[in-house]
Amino acid sequence: MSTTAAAVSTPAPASRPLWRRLIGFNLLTAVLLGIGGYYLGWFIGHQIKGSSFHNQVPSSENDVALLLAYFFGVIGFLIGLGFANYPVSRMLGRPASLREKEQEGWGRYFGLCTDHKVVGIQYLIGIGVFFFIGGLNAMLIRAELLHNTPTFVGPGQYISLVGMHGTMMMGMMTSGILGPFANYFVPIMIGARRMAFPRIEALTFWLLMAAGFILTSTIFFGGFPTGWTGYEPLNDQAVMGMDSYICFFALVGISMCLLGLNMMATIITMRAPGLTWSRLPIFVWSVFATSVLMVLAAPMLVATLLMAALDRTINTSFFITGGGGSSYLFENLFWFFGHPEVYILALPGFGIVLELLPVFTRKPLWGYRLAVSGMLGVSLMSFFVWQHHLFVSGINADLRPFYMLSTEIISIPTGFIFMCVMGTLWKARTSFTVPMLFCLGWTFNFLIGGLSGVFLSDTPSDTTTHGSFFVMAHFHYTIMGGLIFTFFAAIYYWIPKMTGLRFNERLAKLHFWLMFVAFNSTFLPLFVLGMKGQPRRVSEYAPNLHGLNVWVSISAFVLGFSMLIFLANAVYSLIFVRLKAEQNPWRSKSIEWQVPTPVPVNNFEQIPVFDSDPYEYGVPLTVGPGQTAPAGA
Amino acid sequence: MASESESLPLGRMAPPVPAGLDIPPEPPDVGARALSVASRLLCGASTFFFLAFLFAYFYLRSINQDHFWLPSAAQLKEQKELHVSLKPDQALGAVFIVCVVLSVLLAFLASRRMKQQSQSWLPPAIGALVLGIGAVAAQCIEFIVQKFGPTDGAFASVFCAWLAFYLIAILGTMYWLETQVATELRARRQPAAHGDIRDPDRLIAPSLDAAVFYWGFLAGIGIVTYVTLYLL
Amino acid sequence: MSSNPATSPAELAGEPNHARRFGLTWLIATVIATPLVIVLLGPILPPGKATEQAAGQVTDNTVLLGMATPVLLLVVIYLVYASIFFRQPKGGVLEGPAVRGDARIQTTWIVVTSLLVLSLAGYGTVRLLADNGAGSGSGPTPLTVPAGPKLPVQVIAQQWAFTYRYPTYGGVETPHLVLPVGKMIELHVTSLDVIHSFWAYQLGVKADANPQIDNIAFVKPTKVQSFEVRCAELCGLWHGEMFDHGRVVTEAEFETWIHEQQTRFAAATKSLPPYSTTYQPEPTRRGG
Ligand SMILES: [Cu+2]
Ligand SMILES: [Cu+2]
Repeated sequence: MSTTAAAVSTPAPASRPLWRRLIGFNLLTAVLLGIGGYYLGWFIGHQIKGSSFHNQVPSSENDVALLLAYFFGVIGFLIGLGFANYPVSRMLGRPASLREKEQEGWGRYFGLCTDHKVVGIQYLIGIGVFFFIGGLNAMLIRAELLHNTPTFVGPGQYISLVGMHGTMMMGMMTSGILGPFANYFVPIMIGARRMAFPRIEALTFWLLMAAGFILTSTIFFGGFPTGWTGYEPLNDQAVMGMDSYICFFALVGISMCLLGLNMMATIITMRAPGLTWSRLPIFVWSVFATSVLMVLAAPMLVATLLMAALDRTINTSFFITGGGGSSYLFENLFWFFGHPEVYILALPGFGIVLELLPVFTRKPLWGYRLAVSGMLGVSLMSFFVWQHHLFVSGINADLRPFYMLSTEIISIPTGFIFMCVMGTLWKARTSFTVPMLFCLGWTFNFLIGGLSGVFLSDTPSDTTTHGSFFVMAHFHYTIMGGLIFTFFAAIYYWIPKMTGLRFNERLAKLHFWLMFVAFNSTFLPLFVLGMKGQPRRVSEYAPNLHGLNVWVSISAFVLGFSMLIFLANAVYSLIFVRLKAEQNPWRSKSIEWQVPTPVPVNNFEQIPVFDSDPYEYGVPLTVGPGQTAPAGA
Repeated sequence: MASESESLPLGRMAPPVPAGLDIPPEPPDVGARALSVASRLLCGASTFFFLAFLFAYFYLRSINQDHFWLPSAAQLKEQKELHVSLKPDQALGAVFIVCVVLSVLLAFLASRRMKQQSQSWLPPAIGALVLGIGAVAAQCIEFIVQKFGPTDGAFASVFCAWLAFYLIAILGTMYWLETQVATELRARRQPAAHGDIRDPDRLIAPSLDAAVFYWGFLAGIGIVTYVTLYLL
Repeated sequence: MSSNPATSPAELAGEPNHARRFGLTWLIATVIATPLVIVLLGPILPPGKATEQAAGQVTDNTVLLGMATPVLLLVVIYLVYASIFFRQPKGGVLEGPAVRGDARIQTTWIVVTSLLVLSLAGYGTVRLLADNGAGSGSGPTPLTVPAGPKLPVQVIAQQWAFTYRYPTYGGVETPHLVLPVGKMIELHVTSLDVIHSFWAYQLGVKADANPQIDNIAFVKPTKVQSFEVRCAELCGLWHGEMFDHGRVVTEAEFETWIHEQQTRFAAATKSLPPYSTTYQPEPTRRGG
C-alpha cells in the first residue's frame, strides 16, 4: 500500500447534504437492492413453478421462489454495498487496485471497507448480535424444559428453536474468533499492512451478515425441523423454512472458505522479514490450521446443500430413496464437513489460550513445536474421523474399529495442547487477570469436553450416549467451554488495543465467575441426564428427570444473566464512562501492542523486522547452580 | 525471583522509524505471490467441492437402490416415467471435453509467452477464452438434447448437477482470464492507466499465471468428470 | 532450550520441590479416587444390567471412567496447584523462568498418551466385537453374528410410532415390543419414511432406522422387566412423543402373548405387505 493510495482516499466533503450522501454504494442502497432482488427472485420463481415441475407441495409453498428470492436478494445486497464495482471494472480492463476508498469516521463501519481493522470490528459487533439471538433461543429452550411436557411452545416451534439455536451457533460462530480477532490481529502480528485480498475479506463479513439475516427469516416460513444437521429425507419433507437453513449454511460455507483462503494466503505470503515459520505467534498458527480446514471442508458443505436444494426444488434424487438416492449419502457428506467444522470451532481457542498464557505467566510458551504439531495434527486427523457420528446408523459398520481408532488418536495432538498449557504454567508468575481466568476456565472445560469425548468415541459406550443429552453436554463443553470462553478471553485481552478503552475489572471478574460456575452447573448435570436416558431435541422427558432439568434450566438462566453483565459492562465501560486503557496494559511483548492505538490505517510506518518469536519472557536460567541469573538476554 | 527482564524493552520487533519518512510501497512480489498461493488454495477448495459429487456418484452407483442406477429392460418398460435412455450424447460430450483440453493448452501457451515477455500472448489467450465458452455451450446443448432430465433417478441427478456446477466453475475461470485480456487491451490503448499497483505488467503476469494454473487444474477435474459421467 | 525446570535458581534458594509435591498429591489422590469411582459409580452407570449387551456397556463405561479419573485429577490438581503456588505477587512485575520446553517430559507425555489412547481403542474394539455390536445398530451385514438360535424381530419406524413384526410368527405386526428372556434377539430396524433411531434404554440398544436399510442389532435380555423405547433421531414434528414401553417376559409368557397377538391381528396381518427386510416407502419427493 502506498501513500498515493492513501491520498486518493479523501473523505467525502462534509458540505454535501445528507440526501446526496445517501445516494451511492452504501448500506441503505444495499438493503433496498436486497429487497428488490428478493421480490424479483420471488416473482421469477412463481413464473417457473406451475410451468415446468410437477410437485407435491401445497400451493402456498414454493421452494424455487424462496431460494431464488434469497439468491437475488443476496446479489442485490452485495451490489448495493459496492462489491460488483471492482469485478466489473476489471472485466472492462481497468487496472488492478488493492483498496476501495477508505473513508474516515463512523461511516466506514457501515459499508464495504477494506481496512482489516474495520472488518474486525464489524465482525465483532455483527457476530455478537447473532450470538445474542442464538443465546436467546437457548434461553427459550431451557424455559420450555422447565416442565417435562410441552408448555408454552408447541412441538414444531420447539424443534425449530433447537434448530435455530444450533444452526446459528454452528454457522455464525465458526468465524467467532477468526472473523473479529484474526482479521484484526493476524496482519499486525505478521508485520503486514493489509490482508492478501482485502475485498474478499470484506465480502466474507457481509456474506455472513446476509446469511444470519436469512436464517432468522426462517420464522416467517415455518421454521425447520431438522436441527443443525439437516438430515435427509426429513430435510426434503420440511416446509419452506428449510430453504432458509440451506441458504444460510451454503452462504456460511462460502464465507468460511473465502475467509480461510484469505488467511492462508496472507500468512504464507505476507510475513515480515525475519518472521520465520518457527517464530510465528501461536495464535497465527492456530488460524492457519483452522483455515486449512475451512478451505477444504466448507466446499463439501456447499456442494451437499446444493444437492439438498436441488432435491427440494427440481426433483433430483440424491438423498431420496424413492428415486435411487440414499439418506446415508447425506450423512456421509454432511459429517465429512461436520467433523472438521467442530475443530474449526475449537482450534482458534487453542491459539488464544496459548497466545495469552505467556503474557500472564511471564514465561515463554512451553513446547512451541509441540503446540504447532498438535494443531496441525488435529487439523489433518479431523478429516478421518467423521463416521464416529454414525456409529449406530448402520453405515459401514465394519469400519467402526477404524473410526474408533482414528477418533482416539485425535486426542493425542489435542493432548499436546494441554501439555503446553501445563508446561507454561509450571513455576510461572501468574497474574489472574480476566483474560487469564478465561484461559484457565478453558483448560478445565476443554478437559471435561475431551474426557467425555472418550466415551462417545467408544462404540459400546456410544450406544447409550449417542443422541442423548450426554453428547449435547460434550459438545457444549468443547464449543461453549472451548470457543466461547476463549472468545471472551480475546475480547477482554484485545479490546484495549482495538478501542483504546478497557472494561471495568470488577464487573469483568463477576462476569467470569458467574459464567464459569453457571456454565458448569448447567452442563455437568446434562451428562447425568444423558446417561439416564434423556434424548436431545425433545421437550418431553421422563418425569423422574424433572428435578435435574429444573436445576439445569435455572443455571442456564444464570448463564444467560452473566452475558447481560458482560453487555452492561461493555455499554458502561466502553460507551458511557469510556475508561481509558494503557498503551500496553498487559506488558505484552507481542508486536500488536507496540503499534500505536488506534492502529494507523497502514499499521506500520516501516515493515518491522523480527528477530525472535513474541515469547521472550522470563529470566534466563543460569548454567551452574547457586548463581543468580544474569540480567538481559 | 528478581525481575531482571524488566529492563528489557517490551517487544523488540518494531524498530523506531525516523519521523517524516515516506511509507515505502509494498514490494510488488507480495501481490504476485498471494495470487499464486490463492490459485493453489482454490484448487484445493474446488477439489473438495467436486469430490462431493464424485463421492455421490460412486456411492449411489454402488448401492444401486431399486435398480434406479442401472435399470433393467423389464423395469424400464414397467416404470413409464423413466426415459428409455440414461445415456448422454457421446459426440457432444467429446466436443465438450476437447474444447476444455484445447482451451487449457492454449492458455498454457499464452502463459509461456507471457513468461518470455512476449507481446504475442494475447491471441492464444483469446483462443482459450473462446474454447472455454465453447465447452460450456456444447454441454448446454447436451443438456437440451439429452433424453433424460434431472428428475430421472440418481444417475441423472448426479449427471445434471455435477456438470452444471462444473460449467459455472468454467465460467468463473473464463471471467478471470478475460480480466487479464481486457487489462492488457486497455493498457495498450492507454499506456498511462494504472492504479496503485505501479507496474501493470507486474499484476497481469502473475494473475494470468494464477488463472492458467487454476484452469489447468479445473480441466483435470473436468477430465475426471467426463470420464465418470460419460464413459463409466 | 530444553533445560530441566528443576534446576531453577530460585528452587535452590529454598523453594520446595514442586515436582515431587505435585506428583505425590496426584498419586495419592489417584490411588484413593480411582477405586472409589469404580466401586461407587460403576454399579449405577447406565444402562443397567438387563441384557448381556447393556451389562457389557456398563463394564465398558466403568473402564473408561477408571481411565479418565487419573487424567482428570492430573489436570485439575495441576491447575489448582499452579494457581496456589505459582502466583504473581500483588502489584509485582516478576518474571518466570525462561524455559521453553523439555524434551524428556514431552516425549514421556507423547508416549504415555499414545499408549493410553491406543489401548482404549483396542479395548473398545474388543468389546464391540465380543458383545456382537454391543447393542448398536451394525448395518445389514454385521461383522460378528452370535452363534446359536436367534429370534428375529423387526422394528419398523415411521412418523411417529414404532411397530414390531415377528417374522417367525407369521409376520404378525404389534404396536408394542415384547421379548422373551434368555434368548438372543436379532433386531432388524428399518424405517418407512425419514431417519429415526430405535433406542431401548434398559436393553442397551440403539440403532438408526433408515429408509431402505436393514440395520441389525443383537441383544440378549437376562432379566424380566419393562423397558423404555424412544426415538433418538430428530424425525419431525412429533419426534418428542415417539416413545413407548416394552417388556421382557419369560419364554412361556412370551409364547402366550404372541399367540394372542396372532389371533388378534390375524385380519391385519393378511393385508400387510409380506415380510421383508426393508419396505419401499411411498415416494415423498417434495420438488417445488
Ligand atoms: Cu466429529
Ligand atoms: Cu424421532
